[in-house]
Amino acid sequence: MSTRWLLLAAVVIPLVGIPLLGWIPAGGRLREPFHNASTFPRSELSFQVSSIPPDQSDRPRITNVQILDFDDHGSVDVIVCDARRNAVLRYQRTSDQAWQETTLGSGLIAPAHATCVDLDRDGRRDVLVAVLGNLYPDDSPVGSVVWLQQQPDGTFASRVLLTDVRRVADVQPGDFDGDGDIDLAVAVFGYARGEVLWMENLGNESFIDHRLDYAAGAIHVPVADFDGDGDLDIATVISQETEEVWGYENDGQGRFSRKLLFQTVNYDVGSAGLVASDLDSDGDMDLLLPLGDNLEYRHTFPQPYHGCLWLENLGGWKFATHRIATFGGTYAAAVDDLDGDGDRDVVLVSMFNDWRTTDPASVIWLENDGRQNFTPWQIAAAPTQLSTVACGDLNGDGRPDIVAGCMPVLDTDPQSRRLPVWVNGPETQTSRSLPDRMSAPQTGAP
Amino acid sequence: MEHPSLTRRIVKVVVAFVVCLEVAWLAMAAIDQRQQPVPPLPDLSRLDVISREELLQVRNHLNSRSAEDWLRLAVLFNVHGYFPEAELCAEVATQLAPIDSRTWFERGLALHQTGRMEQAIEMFKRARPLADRSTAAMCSFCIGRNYLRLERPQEAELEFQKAGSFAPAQFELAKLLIRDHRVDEAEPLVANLLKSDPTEQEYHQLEQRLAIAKGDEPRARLAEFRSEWTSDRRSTDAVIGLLGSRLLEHGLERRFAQVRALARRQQWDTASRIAIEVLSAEWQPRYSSEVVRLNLELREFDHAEDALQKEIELDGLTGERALTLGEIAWQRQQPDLAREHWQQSLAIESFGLAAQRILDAKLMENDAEATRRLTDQASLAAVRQSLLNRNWAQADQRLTGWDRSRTEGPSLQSALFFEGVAAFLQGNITRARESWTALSKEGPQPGRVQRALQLAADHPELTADSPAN
Repeated sequence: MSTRWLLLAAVVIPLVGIPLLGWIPAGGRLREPFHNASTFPRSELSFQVSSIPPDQSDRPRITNVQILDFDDHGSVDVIVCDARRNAVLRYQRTSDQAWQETTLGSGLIAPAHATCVDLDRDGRRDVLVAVLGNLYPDDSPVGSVVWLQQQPDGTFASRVLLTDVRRVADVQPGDFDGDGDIDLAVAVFGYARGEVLWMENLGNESFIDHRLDYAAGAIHVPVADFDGDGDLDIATVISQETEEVWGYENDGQGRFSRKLLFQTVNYDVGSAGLVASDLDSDGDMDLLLPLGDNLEYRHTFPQPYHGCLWLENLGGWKFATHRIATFGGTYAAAVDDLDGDGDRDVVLVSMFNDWRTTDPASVIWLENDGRQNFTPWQIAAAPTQLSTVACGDLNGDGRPDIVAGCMPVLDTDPQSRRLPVWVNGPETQTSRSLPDRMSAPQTGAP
Repeated sequence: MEHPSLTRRIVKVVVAFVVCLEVAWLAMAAIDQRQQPVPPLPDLSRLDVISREELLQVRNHLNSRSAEDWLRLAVLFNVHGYFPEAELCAEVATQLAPIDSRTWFERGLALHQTGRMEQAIEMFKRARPLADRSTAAMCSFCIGRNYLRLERPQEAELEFQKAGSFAPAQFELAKLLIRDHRVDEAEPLVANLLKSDPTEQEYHQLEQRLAIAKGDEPRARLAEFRSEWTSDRRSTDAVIGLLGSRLLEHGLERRFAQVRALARRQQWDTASRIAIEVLSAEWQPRYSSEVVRLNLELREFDHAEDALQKEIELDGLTGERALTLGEIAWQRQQPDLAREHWQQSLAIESFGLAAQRILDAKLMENDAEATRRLTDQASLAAVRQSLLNRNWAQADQRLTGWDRSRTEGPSLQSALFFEGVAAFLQGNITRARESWTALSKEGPQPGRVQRALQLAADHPELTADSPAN
């Protein structure tokens, strides 16, 4: 090759080659992205999956479910707070094993919790509803406590017991001042500001509120005799930027003193509720604290500190903290003896697991070995984004079943169901007959 | 003297050598280029189309040798909740630009979001010495928060101290000190925060906690009261603040911010067009409300109602939505329907704007009693708003200009209560006490009245709160 050609090549090669480099596609691989899905071994107990209709998969907003025998007729009902329909609903089993829906109260903007109690002691069960007034963050006085008073004809008359307060997340009954009538404990969650109240029943269906605490983020106010002195005390979890569990010791006259039961400096821990239960069956009331609320972030990710704590009541207002599960995005807990071995197991649901991975758990149960060592078992990976859970024997076979409520607030979920049900036990005629049928809805009367 | 052919040969050899070098360099560069990392591509189907396109645009045109490009992609992944992918991109950016604090910070943020606190701390510590003063303070805040998440408060405390006068870090530090019963150390911090911004309710709540820790109940009650009558801002978590402000700069939220800017300039047509585009990309109550509002401005009542009905169907009825339904009916000259919706709104939010709207539209029933009740509700809503805006003078003006000669029941009680609040906040304790005492004579009062009276007893003399600017 002549020098001239070589010279030409020396000039042309970089001139052509360098721009061409830019056209060569990158082919290097980065490492796999980090995943943190909580998954667990498959449950050895078998569950038959179904749901309470209507499924209405588009943006359900179930804030609370409970399983109880509402009118003591011998079979259980499911009481549901639906923040999309702004109603408290009752689902009853009919003789042909379908579900019948009854509206107990409507026009309740974002009901957060319904508590069934005979408030006026007339022999008919009423419903106390904690009304948020707005499902979304809101610090204005939109909350209320509404009493759905059961009438002799079975209909419910709505009366507002507390208004001009911020978003109310829970209301629980109890005779706190020992005068024989039913007072109320109220969690005003609010947003930036909130409070914990007890409402003294003055008779004549009027109440006066007393403040127990001033802080935003009170979620639940379980009522029990936590110190075993014969009167009813109140506990609460203050979430938001506080993350503390408080007990309010009652002197029996409605005078309360505050007791700090648990606190963490991890303000991101995401307390999501407080459940009172004698988990270790030692005769005193313990507390379960599900952790995993990430709603302050637009996008969430399961965190290593999410899960469930058991606050073991040691007596004298001393509570020992035990982590019983690490489970991303835990949002609610329920307690029952799922495997029938005589001790109390725990069911947890997740709102914010790492749903992009395969098989992230949305429902698990924690098997208690009788000495409060808990083994987690995965029940389901769908539907995702569950906000509430309850246990109870839906089909009368003696085994507790599970009902959850769905609230996909961040992402839509094509598998979403309003009220998924997991019937405990192998598939039988009874469990097959439970799901997915609905008789004509009723309004007003149970 | 050299032979000319020898010179030519030498030149030829040299040129050939250069050509070989060029070819070899190009080959190596090609291999190197081929080995450049491909940016991650997660399932973006949950993203709205506008944000998805923006993200794909950045990803597909990424120059794999540009730290800036990798950083930009990392920011976008972080903004849209793809934290593991953000971490990978930020990691490449740190390798390409190890002296750029932003790359370390972004990597730290992705690790923070995915709950890997130790690693996040490491990254923020790498970012801090490279950063300007305010970013360095933010790094210290993030390190402190991650130590808190690890339940290591002593280390968190040191980091918050390093953040200097950065208010969110001072807030966290004071909170830690109060929890640790070191109230004397917390006191000046709380005082500083309150002085810097008396309208931040979280500072008043902090003071309340401080007072409780010191056993000073009157001071705690006063702090509670002041917290009640300030804004609803929660601005002390700087990470949430940062994420929130970033959202506004990207994807769909940027488009939405554009809609609001256009609406402020009253460019309704363009604003409406973009708002509909935003809403069709992703249904969100906020977007829908804006579409409704713009359609009302454009007098496109059918479109407004369609959007609003969908909003109610998907998200439930609220007082504000009923109010807007009434507005649509009113504009369509359906006064009876308008009144029905506004009454519905009032049933949900008794001190809402619906009362004033009914009065403005002269839709009162032919009933003096109903009219008076509406007037009271509207006045109460206005007074409350003035108080929350810390505009004491306006609250006073509204209270004095309101004929309450026939006001009674809960409305009168609320009016008296607000009157006391306005007086108290202006330092007129005597008048506040008078209002609240008068109220207590009206029968059993809600707890707030008893608390207010206790407050007046606690503080017989008090200087006025600072009104809003």
